[in-house]
Amino acid sequence: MIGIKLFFHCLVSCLCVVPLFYAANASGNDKIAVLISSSESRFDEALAGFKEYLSNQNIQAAYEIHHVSGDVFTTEQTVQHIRKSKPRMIFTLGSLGTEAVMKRITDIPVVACLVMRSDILKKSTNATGVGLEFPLETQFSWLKTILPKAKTIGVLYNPAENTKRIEDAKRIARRLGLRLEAVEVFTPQDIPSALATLARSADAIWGLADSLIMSPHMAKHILLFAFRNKIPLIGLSETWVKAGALYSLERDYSDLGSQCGSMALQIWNNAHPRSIAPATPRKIFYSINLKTAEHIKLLLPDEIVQKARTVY
Amino acid sequence: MITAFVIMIASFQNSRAESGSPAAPVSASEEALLFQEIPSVYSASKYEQKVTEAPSSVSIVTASDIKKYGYRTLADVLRGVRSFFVTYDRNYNYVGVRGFGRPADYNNRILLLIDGHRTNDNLYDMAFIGTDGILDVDIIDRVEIIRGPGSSLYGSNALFAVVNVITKRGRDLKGMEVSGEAARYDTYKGRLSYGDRYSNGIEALFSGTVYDSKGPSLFFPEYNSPTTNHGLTSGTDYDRFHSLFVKTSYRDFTLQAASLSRIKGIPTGSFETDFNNPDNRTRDQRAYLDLQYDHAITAKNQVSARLFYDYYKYTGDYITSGVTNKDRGLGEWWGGEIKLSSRSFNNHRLIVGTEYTFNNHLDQRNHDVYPYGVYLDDQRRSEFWAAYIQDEITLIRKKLVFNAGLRYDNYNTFTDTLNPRLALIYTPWGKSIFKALFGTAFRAPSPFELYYQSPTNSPNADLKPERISTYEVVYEQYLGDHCRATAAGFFYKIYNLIDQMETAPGSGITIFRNLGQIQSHGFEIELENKWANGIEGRISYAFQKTVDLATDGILSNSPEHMVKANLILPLWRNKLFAGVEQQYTSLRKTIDNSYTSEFFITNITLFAQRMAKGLELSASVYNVFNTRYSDPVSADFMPVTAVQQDQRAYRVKLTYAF
Repeated sequence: MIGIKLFFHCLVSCLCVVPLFYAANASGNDKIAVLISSSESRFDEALAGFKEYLSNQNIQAAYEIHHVSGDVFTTEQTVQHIRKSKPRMIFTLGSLGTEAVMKRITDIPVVACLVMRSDILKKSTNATGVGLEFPLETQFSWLKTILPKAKTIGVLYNPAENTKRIEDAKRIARRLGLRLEAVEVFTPQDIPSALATLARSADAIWGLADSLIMSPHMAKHILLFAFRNKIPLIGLSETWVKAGALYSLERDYSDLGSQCGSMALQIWNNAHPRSIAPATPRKIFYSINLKTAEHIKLLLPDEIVQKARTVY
Repeated sequence: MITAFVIMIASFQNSRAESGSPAAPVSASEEALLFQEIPSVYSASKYEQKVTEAPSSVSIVTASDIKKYGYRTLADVLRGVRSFFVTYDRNYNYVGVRGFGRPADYNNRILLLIDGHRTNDNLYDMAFIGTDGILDVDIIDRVEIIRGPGSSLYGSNALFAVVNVITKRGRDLKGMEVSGEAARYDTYKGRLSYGDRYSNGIEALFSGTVYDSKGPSLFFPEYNSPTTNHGLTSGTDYDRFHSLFVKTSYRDFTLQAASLSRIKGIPTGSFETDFNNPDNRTRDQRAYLDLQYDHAITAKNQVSARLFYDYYKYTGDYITSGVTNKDRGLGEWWGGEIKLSSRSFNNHRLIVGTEYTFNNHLDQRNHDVYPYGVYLDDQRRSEFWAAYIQDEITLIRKKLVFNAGLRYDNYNTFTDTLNPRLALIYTPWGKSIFKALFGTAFRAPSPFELYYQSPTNSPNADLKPERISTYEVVYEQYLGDHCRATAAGFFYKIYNLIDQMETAPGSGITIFRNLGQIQSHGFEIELENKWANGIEGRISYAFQKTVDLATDGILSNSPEHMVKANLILPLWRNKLFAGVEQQYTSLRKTIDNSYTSEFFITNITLFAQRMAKGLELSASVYNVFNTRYSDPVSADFMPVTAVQQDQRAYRVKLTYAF
């Protein structure tokens, strides 16, 4: 009986070790470990863009693909596994995997993609990448283009998450001739009164990525509030626009992958990640919702409508 | 206002329950905020959270409903709502709720608010809901109808319901809007409105309405004699008004002003006046000014304050045997209110507030012009103050909400009163809500009931406040995203009912007295749905048995059964709609213990929008099947006990925004 168990353990160990051996051997260190945090199709688009860019640059890397979900234990195991396999670099897609890698691995270069903000990469000594969020200047410039009459921009934020962001945003908004009215929200129960405050003064509501406020559970409430109060809401993405936000700035996910690919190429050619500044998306599109525009009696110039990538 | 806010808060508490602990720092999957699927706002069915989480049974009628069902007045709005019925004595409209509707009670058992401003006047406590309503229904954003006793927050008059009308804002118009309508009986109405929100943050809305109706010719069998034109009257049911509404806001301040002047002919020969005399008429002039301040002190603490001034003048010309009797009422009052709401304590939402009202004029006068004779010249002042507290406590993993409120009112005209309300709201599963509610409410006797004297009415200064205790259970079940079923059972008892009666049978002189106790029980069921293809509708049935405990008989003007069905059908894209309404009311007892017949009413409206830029058209037919029916009236109308209502009528309306 003991012999059978021993044999079984040996067999399992061999089955685990053999692929690692092959993977390590195949690369000689041409291996790129990929850690994907979501099954969302945009992640696949970004990965395809990344691979295509490197392929076009004649980089023949071996890709070791890993998926992580919210399970801490599995994520930990996967990161340990990557660490042991010693890839030439790690390409992370999504903040779940990125944060786990940044916490555990400091000696392998990391290129991060599809993380909300590139700021988090600045804390790391071995990571760079491209954030999802557009620079504040870009966001406010677009706001002025699409809503030229809007002067007071309302925003809800959780101080535990976004104080620095709001300070920067206020400064930049002021520079662009806008007034940012930022209302603190500590719990979801604070949101009704915070929204009521904004309804009295805001010409538009800026949807700031804030996990407390713009969560799936709160989205419907905020969208309905904006809709009923006829205040244009600037959504976080196309899904928000489809649901009723006036517009959102959009990314090209394949190009985000390419943008990360160009960073990976520099690292492949022995540049240190710290020498490559984290970046923001280089291509900008936007989606608009004409039903919402009509509801709030906002007449958008034809040029704005025609140039939109998606019109609802 | 407070209730609406509480309701909204409650919905967010549920959201928190669902989302775990959202106060945690940045989520590792923050980018999910971009990719999440979000339900579209276009499919949201009205204000479902407000309705579901309220510590009462709530209905909401939106501006869209008003357009698509062709509602002309607030009375039309309320007529379409579960458990409400409206009677019309061809001068004023009176609301009945849950089997209780006293003809000529001036709607003083419901509280009518406009943007939180109390509009019941200080002489008759009247809530104006017909063409005497100060607000054109076209500038209503929504009407929140909160059933049950509301005195724990709102004080007097909130016995059966609080009706809060939320008006549109400048941003809802964003420019000029002109509207004209023509209807049967030579009825014409015009409205001009302008509103916008400016880049300096100021928001303004101005709206003026003019209305003129010659009214139908009517037949009253009670007057079918040669001396009274064989019961026929024409040119006496005229109705004219003009009104103005202004609302401006800047940041935390909102200033609102409204006025109305309405002249209405009295075709009924009430108060023993000469039948078929067009000089019998009333004139109601109403105005108010309201300054409101709302400020968030911190994320968890808000303050709201209000200063108001109100004016009401009533003039009645009553011709009896050629003698003109002039009836006058002048009410003027001002006051203020301050309210604090806080969520500083865990699981608690606390509201405390106080208000003060000074009645500067409570003047009533009644005299004959020639030969001159004064029956009443009564001038008074009074004041009252109140303080209230309400706490909403969330328990058992956010599944149970306990709502407790208490209000103390102190009148210098009678003793003080304390009114509680308790509510338990249990949400065992996301889509099932159980509510158990108890509350008391009161109504202070009005100066009219206390002191009015005329050839046909005696005063009674000994009247005591009327009180009601209500018990209610409500079960609400969501079936799918936009289908809601509601079942409610209620029991209420009214003490010291103030009602009008003849001083002696056949005397023709009426008096208000505390008449003892009224008891009622009943239940309501309602199913409403909004389909993805745009069809929406609701159907309800209400049963109520309301008994006068003194006589053990059914109360007059109390229908035992009511059925209502409303349907909106999109006929072509999002441009053409049909709104169909069906209302059934069972027979009602009249003041002489006979019964009015039961009746079905069908109203149909075709509503077109977006056919051309800024243009809206509607065509309505009311009482499509030309049903003949009558509403019970008060003893003032003797020998008439029920007044006939309009037969088939139509209206065409055109609105253009530019």
